Amino acid sequence: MTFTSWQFGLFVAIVFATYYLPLVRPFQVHLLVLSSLFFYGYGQVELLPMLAVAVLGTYLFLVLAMQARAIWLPVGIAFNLGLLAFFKYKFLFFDPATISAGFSAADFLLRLPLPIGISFFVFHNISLLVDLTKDHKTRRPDLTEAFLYIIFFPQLVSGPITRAQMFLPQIKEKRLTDVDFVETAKWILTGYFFKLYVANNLNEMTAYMDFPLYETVRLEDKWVLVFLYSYQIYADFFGYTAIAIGLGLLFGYRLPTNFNLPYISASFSEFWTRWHISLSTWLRTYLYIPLGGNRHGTGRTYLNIMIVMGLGGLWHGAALSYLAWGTMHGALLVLERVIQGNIGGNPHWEAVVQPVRIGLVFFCVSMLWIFFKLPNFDHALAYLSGMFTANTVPLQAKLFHNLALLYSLPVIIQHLAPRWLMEAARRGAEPYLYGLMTALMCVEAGPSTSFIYFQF
Amino acid sequence: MNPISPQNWFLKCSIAAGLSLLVYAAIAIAGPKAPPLPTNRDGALTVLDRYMQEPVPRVLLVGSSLTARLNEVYFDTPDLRVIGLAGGSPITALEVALARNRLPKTILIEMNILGRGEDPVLVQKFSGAATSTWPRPIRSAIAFYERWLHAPPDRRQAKADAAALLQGPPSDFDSRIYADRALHQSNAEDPTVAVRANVTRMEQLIAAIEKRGARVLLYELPYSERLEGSRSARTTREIVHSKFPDPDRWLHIDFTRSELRWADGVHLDERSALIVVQSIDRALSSLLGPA
Repeated sequence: MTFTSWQFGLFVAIVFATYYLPLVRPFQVHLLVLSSLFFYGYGQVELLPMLAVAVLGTYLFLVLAMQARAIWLPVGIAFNLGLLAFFKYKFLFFDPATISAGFSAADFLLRLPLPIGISFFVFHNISLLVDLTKDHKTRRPDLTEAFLYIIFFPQLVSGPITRAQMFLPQIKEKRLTDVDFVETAKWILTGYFFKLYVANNLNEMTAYMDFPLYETVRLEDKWVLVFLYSYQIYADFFGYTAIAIGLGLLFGYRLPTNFNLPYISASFSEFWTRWHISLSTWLRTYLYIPLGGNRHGTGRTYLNIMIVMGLGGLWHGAALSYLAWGTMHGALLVLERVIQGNIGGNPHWEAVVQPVRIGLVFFCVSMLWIFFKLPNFDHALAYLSGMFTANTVPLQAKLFHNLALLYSLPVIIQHLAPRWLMEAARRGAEPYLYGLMTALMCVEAGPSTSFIYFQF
Repeated sequence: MNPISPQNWFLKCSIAAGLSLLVYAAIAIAGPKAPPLPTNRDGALTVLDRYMQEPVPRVLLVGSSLTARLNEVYFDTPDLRVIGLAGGSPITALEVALARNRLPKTILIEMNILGRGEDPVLVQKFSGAATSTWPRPIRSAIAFYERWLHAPPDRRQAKADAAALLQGPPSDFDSRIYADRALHQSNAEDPTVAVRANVTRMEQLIAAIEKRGARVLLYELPYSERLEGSRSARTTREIVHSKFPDPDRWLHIDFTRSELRWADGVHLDERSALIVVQSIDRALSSLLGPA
């Protein structure tokens, strides 16, 4: 069930209509857990037992780790990483064509499809284990609360990755009068607008980046498509997150923001504080800092950055392209540290240097998205080389630049419009603006397509 | 400044959305129909939409992407239209043509690619049975703009371009990598079942066309030498010729094969398509006489 389907709209309407009824109020957490299980199992019932095993197993290790952290915390983390590794990377070791149609447990497990959102709920599980066993004062959540934290449906499939310390204190009785409906509507409308109007329409064009279609694309259009994909992936993921945040608010839970205008970052380290913030925070808290962070000298810091970014890349999938994407981001972060450590900034030149830096970061980030768009490494390299070679193939694909610009405009305006202009518009015209966005996404929605991050 | 109340906020938001949708609906219902805006050249949508919008021609060529390369403006035969559907089948084009009240006097059907059958979405969209779909306003605006910007080429200019193209030598573009891929695909599966079914359907459509008084001729476009012997080409040719053995049913196209090139291993390049167009013109002229 995707956020853009009518079934999902009906599902949310029914859950919302029930959730705040006085009779149901004592069972709000249970209702959300059941709804989340329904949401997850809709169309993929065979994966529900796996989800249950992941949550129940994690809860068992949580109980044990609260008694003996040194022993059970590593076991619990290994259990979750094992789940992630099995489902995401099993085909590195098993050829899908050779898996027999037998009835043994191993055959059954090998035949199971990749559970949607596994990367996200495994990270929630690890956060639960680490955060709650840090000191003895923390109250242990009951099983239903743990379930809700891990499988709360707005964030179950693609995040944002919420830390246990942030979510669990919010589990309490909710009242309709506490819901800020305007803020909720703004998040949800913005999310759907970015998904339906921007991402889905741009997807029609960036589909030409796929193999073998890119062989029919003109040289200059290959460049244009790279930047369009930059806008698309942002609109797609930002849209999803905005809907998730809005839905969270509808049920009384505030989820963390995941994006903060990433394409105006003036450095690569800044980019990672603005893009997929919840993943960056998670990796920093649970991987970079435990590895030693920047506390053991320059060389070790660089190594830690490369490890974290490399694993962050692999987290997206078992493909060389994802590893290349992560390690190249790591290399840029290291390079930036080396350069910044040796060059003192001149404040007089800041007005000139800043836009150049923003442009450079955006350019590099966009170029690296090629490895994201084309998980087959050979295809990614072929695309890259095609960006520097004139395409002599006759009957080339056509890209309408004016249409591309109109579909990209919301992302460009959001990032580049002066703050004072946005504030001024917001004061008087805000509700009308949201009304126009609603109309536009109704009449100009692109062909339906899954959220890009659903595959992770 | 006092913050706006939630009720007021939602009221203003709804008014803006409602009014915008009303204006849109009024324009969509009463305004002109926007042309399609496909993201690839010679898209099936554009070709079929244009066929349905314009008067019924005297001569119609229908076929796959092979036929799509035969540019209408290069034909000397007057009042001729080409429906070549990239990735599609001549059956789709025939179904759409049959949906109109009047038929062209002569219909030429390409018989090279018959492994693909009717595209039900396209047929439904253009056969009049489709329910009306609401246009996307921004896309429509760009479509109108693009049509205004890129009006159909001037016929005289196109003829001059064609003459210049023929003056030059054949292309030396190396398409082996594409030809290898095409050959691999053509040999991958046995198309017998699909081709038999589609040829049977084609026979029914031809009977329906002839019943309405139109003349039907079949033609085959040349493949590159490597593809001529592929399983798909061979099987299709055998089935088609055993079903339609009468030589008078076929349009005989003569050309100098050594002058032909295939841009991507399968489809004729511009100059070669022009050579084939001229030979079709000659064949039509002797069959149909002057316009």
